Amino acid sequence: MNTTLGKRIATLRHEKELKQDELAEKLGVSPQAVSKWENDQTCPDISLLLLLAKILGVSVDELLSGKKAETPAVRILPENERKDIKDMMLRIVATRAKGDVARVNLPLSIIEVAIDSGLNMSQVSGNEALKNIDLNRIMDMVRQGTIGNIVEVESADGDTVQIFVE
Amino acid sequence: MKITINTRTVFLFPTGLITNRFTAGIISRNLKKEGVRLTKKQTSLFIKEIIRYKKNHADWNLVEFESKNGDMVEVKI
Repeated sequence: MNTTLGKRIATLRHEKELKQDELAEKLGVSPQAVSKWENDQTCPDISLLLLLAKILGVSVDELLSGKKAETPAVRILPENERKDIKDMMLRIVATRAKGDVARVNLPLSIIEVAIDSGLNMSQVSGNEALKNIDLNRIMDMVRQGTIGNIVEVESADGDTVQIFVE
Repeated sequence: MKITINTRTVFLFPTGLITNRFTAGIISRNLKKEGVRLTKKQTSLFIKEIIRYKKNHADWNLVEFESKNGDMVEVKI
């Protein structure tokens, strides 16, 4: 995504439901400093990047580049660390053998509605690699706390499809 | 709904005009032609969830496409 560092900080801060002064306090800086970062007037000092990224729940690389790691490891989160499914995302990343990449970002709440409606992947996806994906199974794993790279398949044409939950 | 190609907005349409029950009915009928059986009510549920999620996640990109040449297309609801 082509956004500025300031906008990413603001977005991530909102996702963590932090106010500017709360973030400032955690970092030991003034709220005005955070405001200037978010308006791209200044940048955070390099010594703060690691802590800032940790507070915002991303890696330093993601914070600076805006690009999420394509292959986050699979983890099972303890119950107290799990997000509400209504705020979680299922990302499908399809990489063609010739190099094109398509990403579809679907809220898990919509996947739940799809499952309750009796939909399965073969009805909505023409991609051969996706047709046999069991959405019910994926949702069961998510309800048990699984996040990260859940599925990775490769079609006969060399296309790969990865499904992440975050 | 906004579609951008290489950060340039090429399509801008009020999301509210497509996320309503009338449109849900149209979508349901057209999906049926493609073999996807969704009732108008089920389609409305989808749309309701899309609206709810969008309110809490303003930067949500539904689709991102990057060609091997580096061209980027983004579809934002």
